[in-house]
Amino acid sequence: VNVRAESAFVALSLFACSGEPDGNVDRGPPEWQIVLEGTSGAVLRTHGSSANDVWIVGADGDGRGPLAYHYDGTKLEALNTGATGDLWWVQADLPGDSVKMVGEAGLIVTAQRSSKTFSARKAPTDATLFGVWGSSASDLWLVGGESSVNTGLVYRDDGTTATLQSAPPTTTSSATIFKVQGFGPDAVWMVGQRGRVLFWDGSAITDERAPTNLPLIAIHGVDEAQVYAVGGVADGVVLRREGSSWINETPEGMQQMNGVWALANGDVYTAGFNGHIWRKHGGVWAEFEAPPTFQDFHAIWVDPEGGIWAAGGRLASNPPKDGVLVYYGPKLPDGVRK
Amino acid sequence: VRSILVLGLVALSACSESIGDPGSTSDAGTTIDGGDDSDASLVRTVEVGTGTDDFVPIATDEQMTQILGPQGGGRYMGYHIWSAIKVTGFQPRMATVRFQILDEDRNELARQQRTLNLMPSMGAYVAYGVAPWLDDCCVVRNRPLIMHAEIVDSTGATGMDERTVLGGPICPDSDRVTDICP
Repeated sequence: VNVRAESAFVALSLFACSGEPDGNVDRGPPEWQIVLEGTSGAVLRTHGSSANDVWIVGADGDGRGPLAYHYDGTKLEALNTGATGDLWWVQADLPGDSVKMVGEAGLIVTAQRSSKTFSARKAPTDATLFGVWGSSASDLWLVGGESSVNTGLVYRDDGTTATLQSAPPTTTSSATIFKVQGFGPDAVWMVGQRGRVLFWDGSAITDERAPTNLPLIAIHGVDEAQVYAVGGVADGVVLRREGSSWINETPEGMQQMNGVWALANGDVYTAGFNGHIWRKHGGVWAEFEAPPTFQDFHAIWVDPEGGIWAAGGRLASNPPKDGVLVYYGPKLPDGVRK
Repeated sequence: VRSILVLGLVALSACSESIGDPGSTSDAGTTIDGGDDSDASLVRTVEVGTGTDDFVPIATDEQMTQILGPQGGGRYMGYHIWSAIKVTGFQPRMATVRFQILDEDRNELARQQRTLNLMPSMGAYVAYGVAPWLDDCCVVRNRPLIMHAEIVDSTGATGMDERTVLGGPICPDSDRVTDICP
């Protein structure tokens, strides 16, 4: 009960600081709401440039194209990307008009924010690209894995051509690279299978030793001094970078976590299996108020107004299916909230 | 209604135990323990199975299939064996189910635990589509494995079941034909 009350208080504080996105409309206290449920493809990632520019991508559950939506603060719009195959990740806060998405079989989709038009191309691989991050639309990192030969793949993409980074350690065996996050063109981290953490310093990629052999599935931070990586198998793992090393600060009882989002105020949210969401607040990890789903979460994003978006579904199915997207915040408009 | 339900449950139960015999173990490997509000009129049963979209029974020594999931990872953590559970006599809401895949020496090769609402299915309750990730798919090929499932319901009642099965012959690539193992 205390955790729930505290969560509500902090969330209310965040919203109080953020103004009133709906003008003078009182949208009430924060609560969990279902935005999408039972979609044919799992919802795999939500990200945006603001609380009124939210991009949602996911799996191609029925073979008719990947799940894709945009939320503008008033309505949820289904998007047709014209592509086929699962979209595993989206970065929607790049400078300029481009929104980048990556996914199955080397799929790279570029959306134009203003026109909602799409173009698709393919990296030179049939492997899945699980993550994308860039400092600009012409300086992107794409990461993924080739299951059949157990290798991780790292590409740099100038917006037109994706080039494989073939120097070790990026192609060391048994390490699918799941996600990438940077803080400028010369500070980029990548995480992956068997505790793999790679760091690009602007001239070379080095293999940082992480204190776990478990998969690291997601990474996020607000700056180089405050970076978190999460993952696990059944049981979760949370690592925090301190100085030049990684510290294991996994709380007891944490389940496998697949998504993480850190805030400038020091709070960190992570979401994972079986609908579990944990929050680090005041330096202490505790389970956050339970969302209305038992599905597995793949990603979590906290929008600039403090709204929490958690995306998931049945992730072990191929393609991932039964999508769910939940939101914690003041009441969403009718028609957006289920 | 309850009499009909109980009759149906008795007919369905392949490895049932009376809750009046807490902690007993049947030949099939089923163990049942009564909860705080045990209802002696109910017969509790637990059956481990497989299946992604429904509960599918498994026979002792049946050969399973290692499934290449979409999560990446390949040989390591990239494969799972679909696991499922069917129960009677347990509270279906907010039940915790735990699946393990063990080797012959009961070393754990994969595990997953979930809290969920069990779904009704022909007089029983089921959960399916649970995917314990195998640490290393290549070590389970053609190997005797123990599929283990246990439940703790909201009243504290517990039960478990397990079957000896055989690992699938290959860890298939995405073409489902080629073995990825060296």
